[in-house]
Amino acid sequence: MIESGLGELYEFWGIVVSTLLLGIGRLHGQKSSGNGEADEDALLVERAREGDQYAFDRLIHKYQSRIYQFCYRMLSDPDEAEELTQDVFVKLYRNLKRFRYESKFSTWLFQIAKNLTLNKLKYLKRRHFFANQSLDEPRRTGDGEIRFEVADETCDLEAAYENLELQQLVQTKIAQLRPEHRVALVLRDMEGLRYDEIARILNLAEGTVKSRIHRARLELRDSLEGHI
Amino acid sequence: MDCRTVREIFFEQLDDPAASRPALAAHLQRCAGCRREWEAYRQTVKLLGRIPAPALSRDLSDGIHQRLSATTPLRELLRPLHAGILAAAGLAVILLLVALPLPGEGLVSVWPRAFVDRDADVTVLADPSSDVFSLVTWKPVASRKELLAELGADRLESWPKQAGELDAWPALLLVPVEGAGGLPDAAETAFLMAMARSLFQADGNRVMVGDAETGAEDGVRLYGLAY
Repeated sequence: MIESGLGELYEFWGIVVSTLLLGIGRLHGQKSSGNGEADEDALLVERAREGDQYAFDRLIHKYQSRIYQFCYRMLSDPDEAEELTQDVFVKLYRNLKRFRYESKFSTWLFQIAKNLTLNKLKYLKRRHFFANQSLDEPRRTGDGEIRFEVADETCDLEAAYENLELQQLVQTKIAQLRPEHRVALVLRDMEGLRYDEIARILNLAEGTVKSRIHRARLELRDSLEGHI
Repeated sequence: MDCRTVREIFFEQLDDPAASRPALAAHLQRCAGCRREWEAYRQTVKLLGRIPAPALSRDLSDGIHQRLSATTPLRELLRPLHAGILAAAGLAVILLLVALPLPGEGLVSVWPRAFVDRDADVTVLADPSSDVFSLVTWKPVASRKELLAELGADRLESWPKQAGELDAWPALLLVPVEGAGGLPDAAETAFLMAMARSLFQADGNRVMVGDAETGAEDGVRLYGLAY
């Protein structure tokens, strides 16, 4: 109990000190890009590279939800997504020294997430992970199990958007898209990234990114025919 | 403007609805099919944006720290080597050993995925410690000092003790295997293979390119080059 309390106190002061250092760094204009968030990330990376665990923890806390969302939307499985999110941050930690400030930290982090996700998809596909998932079976989600049913065609669109079953159906249809189309669609239409960021993450020209997003939307729209 | 062309510009229309596209507007006015398509396309994208983000069930930082303290970089490197890949890697090694001189004849294994021929004019290595896919260098180097200048000292940190032997290596090609930068795509792989062959085969050397997963030569996944 005492150890736990001391640990929390230690952590608290660590965060305070880290925050102060970040503030001082910002006052001195370290690696200032004129973008507050990017500057803060760059400073956190710099501190984390120097072994500041609290700076690394702040990066985790800042980005774990977004990376998890991305992984979940790519893999459609909450447990696999959590595992992969941890892998992403482990990989990040091991590669902090390689971050060269040429792009936003978040872009680089998504790059790592994208690569690990695509590798994971190949791994799971080889093990027929997705073959066991059927629309007729109840689906496990972060909020428990649900069963798919065809949407009531008479319901209005606003109600349809709120329909959890429809949302899960969309997630399933997204999982059936080709991975290279899926990742572009998820990054744009679900994560809301800019085209230039996506182009950087996927290492593609912006035109190619747009084309992939368009193809993915058309395919998804076809697969959802009758549901929306 | 035909229906197919119209559907191709749905993307632009959704991206920039304020832009004037009279031909599109006119087509949608008279074509019920494209109107339905446009509406469905728009609703699909809108639906994607409305799907709530899945929530994390717990803070992952403890798990991340546990993994970091439980795995050394070497273990991390070897972790994916489950039975299937081990078998494939074994096959790849056999292929290499069949095609290359035996260790006793000058070929020395310095890492599970890398081979060095101390007697050769040129040494080609897969970089086992790399996590970013990019061709680091193929520039011939005459000394360890030059090599460090070329690569940056941090790249050699996780190399095994054999790094001390770098002075004896007249040249180095680092070909990252896989990692944060991802696997090389087909075009990158083709480029690397072509470059490696043109560089080294021209001198009468053999170039081996292996696939870490299947053990097949000329596979998509580079696992190493040796000549």
